[in-house]
Amino acid sequence: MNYKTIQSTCPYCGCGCGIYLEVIDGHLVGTMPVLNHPISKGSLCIKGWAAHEFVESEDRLRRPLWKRGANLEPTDWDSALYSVADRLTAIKQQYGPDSIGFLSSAKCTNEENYVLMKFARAVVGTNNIDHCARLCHSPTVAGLARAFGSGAMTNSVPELEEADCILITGSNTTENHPMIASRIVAARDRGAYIIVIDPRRIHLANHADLFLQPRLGTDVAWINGMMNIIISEGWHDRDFIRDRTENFAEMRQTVASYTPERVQEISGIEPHLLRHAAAMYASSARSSLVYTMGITEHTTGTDNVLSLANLAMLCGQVGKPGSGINPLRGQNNVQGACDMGALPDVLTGYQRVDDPETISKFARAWGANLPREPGITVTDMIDAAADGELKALYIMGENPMLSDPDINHVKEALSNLELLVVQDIFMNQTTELAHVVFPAQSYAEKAGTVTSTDRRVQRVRKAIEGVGEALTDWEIFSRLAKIMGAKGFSYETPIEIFEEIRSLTPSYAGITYFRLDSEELQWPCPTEDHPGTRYLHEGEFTRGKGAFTAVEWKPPVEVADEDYPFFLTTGRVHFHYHTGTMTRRSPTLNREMAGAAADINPTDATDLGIKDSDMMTVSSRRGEVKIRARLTDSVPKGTIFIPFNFRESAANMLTISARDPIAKIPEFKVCAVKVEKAVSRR
Amino acid sequence: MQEEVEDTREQQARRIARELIASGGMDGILGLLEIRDHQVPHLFTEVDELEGLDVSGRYPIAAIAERLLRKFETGRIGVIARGCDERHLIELEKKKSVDMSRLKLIGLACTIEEARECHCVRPYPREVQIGRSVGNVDYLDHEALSKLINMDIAERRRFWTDIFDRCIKCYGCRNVCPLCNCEDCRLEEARWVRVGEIPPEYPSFHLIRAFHMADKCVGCFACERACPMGIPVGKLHQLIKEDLKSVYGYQAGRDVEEKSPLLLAPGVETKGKGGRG
Repeated sequence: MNYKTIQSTCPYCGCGCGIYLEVIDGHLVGTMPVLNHPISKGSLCIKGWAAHEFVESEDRLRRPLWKRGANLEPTDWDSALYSVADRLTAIKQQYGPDSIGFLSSAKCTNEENYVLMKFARAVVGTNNIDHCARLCHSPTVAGLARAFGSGAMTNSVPELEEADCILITGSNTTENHPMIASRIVAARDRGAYIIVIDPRRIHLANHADLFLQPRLGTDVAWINGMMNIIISEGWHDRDFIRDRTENFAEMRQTVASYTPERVQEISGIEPHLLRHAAAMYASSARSSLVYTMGITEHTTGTDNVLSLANLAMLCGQVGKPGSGINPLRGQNNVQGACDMGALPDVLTGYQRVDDPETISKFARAWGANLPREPGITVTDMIDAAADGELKALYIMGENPMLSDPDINHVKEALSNLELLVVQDIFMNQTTELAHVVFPAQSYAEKAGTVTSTDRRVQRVRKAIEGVGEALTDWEIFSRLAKIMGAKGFSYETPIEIFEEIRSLTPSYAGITYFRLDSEELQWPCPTEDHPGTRYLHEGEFTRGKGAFTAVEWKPPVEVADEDYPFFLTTGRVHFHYHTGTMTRRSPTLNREMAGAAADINPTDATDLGIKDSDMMTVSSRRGEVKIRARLTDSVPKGTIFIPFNFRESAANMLTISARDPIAKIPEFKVCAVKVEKAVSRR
Repeated sequence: MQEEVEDTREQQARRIARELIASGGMDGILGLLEIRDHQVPHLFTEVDELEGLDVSGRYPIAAIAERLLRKFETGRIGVIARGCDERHLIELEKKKSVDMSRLKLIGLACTIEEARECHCVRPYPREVQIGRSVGNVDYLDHEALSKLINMDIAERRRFWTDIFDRCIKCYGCRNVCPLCNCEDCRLEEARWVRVGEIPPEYPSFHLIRAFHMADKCVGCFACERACPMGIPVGKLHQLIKEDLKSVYGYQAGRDVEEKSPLLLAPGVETKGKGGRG
């Protein structure tokens, strides 16, 4: 008789909630909330409560697989590893290191992302490494870095309770960051103003003091409009602007033309409502902005983020407790994967690959020659594979065949590769195309650290032994590196990897496993006696002066027209997570939501003769899906919403791969579609 | 002062657990293990482990005991049980979900502070072996309760509609409760509550749960503490409990022989002792 509970960190979104995994005789039987956890305070959402359910699923990958003829067949580790090592070496010799690309994973630990990043750069010799942050918060990383010098959430999750005004835009917080919504509701109970600005009437709108519903893709316009009102009324913080920022005059000139009337024409927001929002935000002692993909997943994603930074600086609402800009990160370790340098232009802690000092520091530590030109992004890798320039792609824990825009294009690209290696915990649409599949361990089988949305580094602990022959992702890369003759990969434990990370990363230098045993630490944490940093930019921005940027509104690339008269917007749902590989194997979550539905306004549905639960055919210039209709006025007339979680009705068959010029994020949030009642049976 | 008492409780708990494990009469002692400033539920099977035994956290220990009994067909378990844990186990025994002959309760009395935090009225088990009973106290938040009860109908509807509308359907109130554990949960059935939507339908989700808990709730307030959205579910249960007490003299968790009035034909006595037990 053996029963124990192991403390870990929830494997789903970026909130970073504390969970106990209950283990009986070596098997996971339950999940419980950690009572005194700083983020989740003894609560969890439905996904957190069900976090153990997929781990020991029958469907787990238990042995390495390789392609024999048209089929993937089981093989042993040595055969699979040697075959991948040989193919990578041959491709590198024939076409050069930049013919190989790597996708890292926001689901894996910091240690694993670091080891993959090191493998790509030191063993293969390419900076072609990126991950799904490209598809969620790359405009945040780019935009906030430009404005403030650091692309991370400025405040802490618990601090939201201290805010006097919270403006939430492009974030369906109760559905996608439930434990952060918990803080927003608590702030409201304390008397804080809650403003929701979103094209959809989201759940939180019911609990807001003010709800504004702009048209899709009009964010720069309404933010400029708010600033126009604030400046005309003299509500801006002149001292803050003078002492702590630069380039205000140019920005001011640009927003002058965004009168409330013009903004109404573009966005549909009534001037008096915009004025109320401006007054609440500018006049509160501590105002916080909260946003997610509704801001970033646009061809103007970086512009949108820069505009929010402008708004915060204009009102001096940054650099204080409970006041700042809070991009909520979507995955348990997407912050960490970025911090670990799983990006084409930076090493750990955002140290640039084109900075000679950085490169020589890492080259010395790793004993390898390192590439100095930034590599290419996820989206560019897909194009390069389609064009035949990228020959091999190595994917750790990502499923681009469902998560990337324009799936037909992704399939064509991946099928064109000479070598596709995928390591994952389950078969998915991407592993199906792979030449070699490595079985990896889930979060419950391994130790390591993850960094949640508020820069909080937390431990993940091993609760059970690895399933089947699965190995941790860092072990797989270490073994591969050794086979390829590389030095510096003889790690025995994740602690050794973490020690190497902190020796090379000033913002993590003071964080140790020992300290993490009893506390969670927020970077920057430069020394072992540093308490970590609750909020950023106090007194001075990371880059010195905060930089205003003059931003003009630009419409989305594709808008509704005669042939495709509806706008499509995409996103996530509460009961499932991303491409569903984990959640759809969880009985609790599947019972709650077994399949996809598209939200359509009842007026539109009536016009098209569609009733609730009817099947619809939705098509765009790129593809077509069949999907059940859900009639709801949470979407305005003329717009439908499809979650991207479901393979049988994949939203990304329809989406457009047009991207932001700076961050290279695709415009997942806006494209044009046609909606018809499906002719076949229900 | 407080720390001395806490230490005493832990020392007492360790001593009793050590004796039980050493005598070989128990396959394990279910209690809390202090690890890295957190207290986690743990089954102690070795004397060496007992140094980490702690009594300061509050977890649904009765649910874990039930799960262990179900998982292992033989064997006996000692359970370090507070008053509420014991009441949970009595209710589970009524449903024949636990075989009490396989459990040995080691009674733990709560401190005044703990009782206050939990809004408790009976913060001690029948037999106290760890700590000292603070006696019958009444830390119910009467002000909040009477505020709820004194609302007029319109105000009441507005309050509960608005507060239930916050619900994100985490099922935490159900999951954390050792007694809200039907095999087929009505809350998950599309017939009663539309699936896949937040907030869940008003009022079906919350009122189904409230009525299902009416004759089971022992007032531990774990549901209210587990709610991420600040919904006063514990107070809702408390109000319904009070009705069962005043109308039928019934209190859940008091005595395994005491039958729920909701299960009996009208007019049949509940065998309740009446008054506060």
